[in-house]
Amino acid sequence: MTELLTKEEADGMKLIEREDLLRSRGCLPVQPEYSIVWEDPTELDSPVKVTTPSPNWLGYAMHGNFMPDITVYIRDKRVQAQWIKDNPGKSFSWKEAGGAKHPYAETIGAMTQEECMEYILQKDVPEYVWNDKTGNKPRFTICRRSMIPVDRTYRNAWKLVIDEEDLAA
Amino acid sequence: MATTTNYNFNLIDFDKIPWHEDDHNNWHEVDALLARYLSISNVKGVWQAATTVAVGERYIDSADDTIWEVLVAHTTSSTLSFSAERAAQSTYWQSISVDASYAGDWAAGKSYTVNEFVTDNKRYGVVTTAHTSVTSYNQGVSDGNITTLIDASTLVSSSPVANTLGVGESATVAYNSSTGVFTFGLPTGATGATGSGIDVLTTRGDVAVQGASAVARLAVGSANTVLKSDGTDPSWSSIATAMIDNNAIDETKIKDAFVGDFTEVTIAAGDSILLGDVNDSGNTKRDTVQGILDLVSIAGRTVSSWCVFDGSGTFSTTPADSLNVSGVVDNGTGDYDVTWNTDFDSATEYTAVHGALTTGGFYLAAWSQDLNTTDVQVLTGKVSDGSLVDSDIVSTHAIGDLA
Repeated sequence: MTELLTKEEADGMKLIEREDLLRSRGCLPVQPEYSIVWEDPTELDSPVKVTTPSPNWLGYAMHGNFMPDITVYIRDKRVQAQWIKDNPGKSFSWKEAGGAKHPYAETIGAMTQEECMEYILQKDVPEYVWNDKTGNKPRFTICRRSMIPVDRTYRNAWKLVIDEEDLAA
Repeated sequence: MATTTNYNFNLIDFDKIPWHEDDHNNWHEVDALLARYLSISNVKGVWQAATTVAVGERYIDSADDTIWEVLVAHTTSSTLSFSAERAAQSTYWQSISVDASYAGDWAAGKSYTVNEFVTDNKRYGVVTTAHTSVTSYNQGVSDGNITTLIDASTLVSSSPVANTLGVGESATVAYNSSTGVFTFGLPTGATGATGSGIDVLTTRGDVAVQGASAVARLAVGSANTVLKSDGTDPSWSSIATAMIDNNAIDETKIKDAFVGDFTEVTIAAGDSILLGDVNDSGNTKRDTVQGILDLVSIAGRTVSSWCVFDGSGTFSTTPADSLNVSGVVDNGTGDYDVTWNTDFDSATEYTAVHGALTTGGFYLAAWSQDLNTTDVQVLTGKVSDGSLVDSDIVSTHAIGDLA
């Protein structure tokens, strides 16, 4: 793959600037092969949720020199949660919380699509889902999109069922 | 016949018959001797009255034994004396003084007359007072009898001395006034056009430099190098950044060159621009015009984020196009979360508008119930009763400050 944005260039820019630059330089989107199917234990009556990465984002992340290390996002989410806890009734603002790290952090290199799915899981799915230590039942699965039903008539009744064989695997 | 001691003049016996021949011989001898030492010629004898005289002839005034030369041809007076005639005809005569004569090397006990010239070693003098010399020429000078005209006793010696000096030393010269000898110090090595100091050069492009003690050779430098100094010795070097003085750049000349010297040509997106890196002590970095435009487009953006996706079709919720969106969460029928790649700064300080394409004969609307810094919820439903339904195309635009 032709490198459209070097790490040296990227580390001098903000995250939104890197995305816009990759877009203007013709970095092509990649249609995702996978989605994350997950359930929120805080919403027991809700159907499962399906998270699918943006093709643009996936193309840029697979190019590399775009996203920061995922630990930066996790850190920011924890900072935000702690600030909200410490300031009940106040509206959260990154300015008041000392600023987010992820727009300015050092970039990482190219990722495979599978690595991107692991990344998006930790970024866009609550930590209590992918890092659940309360029980044995899995709260999520990364599956091929072809496995997700096309018929959405009973979309609000979808549940996450994982075969025991899959679990064993 | 007896004669005088020095010149053998005849001592005539006047009783001899005839004695005029011996007398004439004496006068011839006197004439010859006088002519030898006195350059007064053309003497015609004692002045006579009523006599025709010619220009240049010389006559003696027997009254005072002086010599006079005729300036105008005439016949002398028959009534006046010689002196009276000279007074009456002052332009006819001029006095004749005794001419100078060479008296040879100075000698002691010798009688000298005025205007005699004498030599003494390398000196040449003239007698100014008649005298008989005593102990030395110098005594004659100190007594005021002799005036030295030329003193060549201090002439430069014809045997100068040459001393050899080391390579690179400076040539020297000294003069001893008492001996008249010049002493020259000459550096060793080749002399002449090349000079002893340049003798160290061997190859085209060599440069001669002064070392700690002598002139040394600095071989020609490599291509595109310049001569630099460490404060002690010169050497060849490429131009380093530290060697460039910022103040050496004349800002005015650069400005003038920009305006007057450069031809204006339309730039292309791929043209390069040299910039100073704010994060790297101003070190230069290169970017393209397109790169600058990209930055401008970011800085001037008012729509921070957007996303367009299929909420119901075969491709599920895959966004068709997006900016600052990492993904979409399908929460259920007509219920989606759009997650931002860069958080908004505050959930209360950005706005989001949504659109939903009418599906299945219903008028659909799209709205939010939950705005977060990390994501925004988008709901699509029927305008008639608000019940949620999927939409084939859902769009979201968010405007506000990013974190």
